[in-house]
Amino acid sequence: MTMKPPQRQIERAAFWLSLGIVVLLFIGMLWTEAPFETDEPLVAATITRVEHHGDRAIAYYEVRNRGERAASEVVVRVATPDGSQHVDQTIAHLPTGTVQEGVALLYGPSSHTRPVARILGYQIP
Amino acid sequence: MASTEQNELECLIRGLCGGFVFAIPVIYTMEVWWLGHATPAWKVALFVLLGLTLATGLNAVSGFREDAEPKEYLMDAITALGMGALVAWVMLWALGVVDWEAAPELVIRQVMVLSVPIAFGFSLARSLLGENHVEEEATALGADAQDLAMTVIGGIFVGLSLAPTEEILQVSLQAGWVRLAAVVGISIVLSHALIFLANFSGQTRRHRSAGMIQSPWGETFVCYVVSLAVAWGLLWFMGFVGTEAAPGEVLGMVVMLGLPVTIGGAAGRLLV
Repeated sequence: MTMKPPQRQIERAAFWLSLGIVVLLFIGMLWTEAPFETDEPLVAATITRVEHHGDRAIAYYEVRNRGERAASEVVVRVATPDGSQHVDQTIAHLPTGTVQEGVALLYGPSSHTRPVARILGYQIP
Repeated sequence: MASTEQNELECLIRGLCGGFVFAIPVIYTMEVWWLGHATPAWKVALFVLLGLTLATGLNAVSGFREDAEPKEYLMDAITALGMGALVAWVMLWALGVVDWEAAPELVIRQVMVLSVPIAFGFSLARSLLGENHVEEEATALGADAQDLAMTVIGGIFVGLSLAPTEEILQVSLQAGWVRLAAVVGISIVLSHALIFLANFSGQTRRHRSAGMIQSPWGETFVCYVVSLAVAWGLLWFMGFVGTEAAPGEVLGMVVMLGLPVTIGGAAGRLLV
């Protein structure tokens, strides 16, 4: 089968653009393979439950390390979506394949919205 | 605007809409984003090439434009994949998963993994969005191949967002042999009911189809086995099954993931 692009202009443009994107992605992925050979921690935080009590929100979260290496001094930030309030907590040591649960308390009217959790940083022990 | 150009644009927009409709649950799944971190490049490449092959087949039975010729199926699949990659990047950026400072190697993998289900949606647009349900009778071999391909595609679609989650491992570890047997039974009965009892579209045509696996229970069992294979493949792709996993543990995960994959496969077969 010959790879003859469609004759119509918009389809032809979309085809060549797509072919370029796919080829670039493949080249990019192979080119950048090396950094992923090293074992790194893979740490992520998720809000699992939120309780609202008046102007307070109690946010339960968990932090997972799915990477191949332990992490230490993991700083988790639980915040309102607009960022007006936040609580930072630190997990001293998070071995690979483990989950650490935590609780954060947020005050004020904006705490009625669903808080978000994210990792601010970590160390490699 | 000339009508040909308008038609071309409509086809692309139809494909984009199909991509969103099909892939939006996957796009919103955190565990799928994480695949960009943990999956080796060769596995991602294999996944994309398999996706490209299946999307080419889908263009034969549905596609995003009505006047595609057989020689254009592969080119349309490349278009679907490329546009899918573009959509994947835009959505990952819009959801705040990636930004300009993100590591390029990570973004590339995340985009490539997500581009496959979006490309499926692109290639299924005409069937998904009801513009032109395929009514022609397939040949016996064609009907078998079509059913098996749609089982794989529907299974990948549903399984892709579930396979990377911890829940599959957790429920499989908790389940004993009795529960696993029950899940096998539920999977088979549900698949049969979805296709042959629930009177969804195309049921009469399915009863008429010729082919080796076109008897109701024959299709149900063969497609269940294929769904289990898809479940195993997805778990292998995510790194859950390998040399370290105990065979009983793997079997449990495959059976537990096999249920949603079977439902996805059955829904996929209904689409065409």
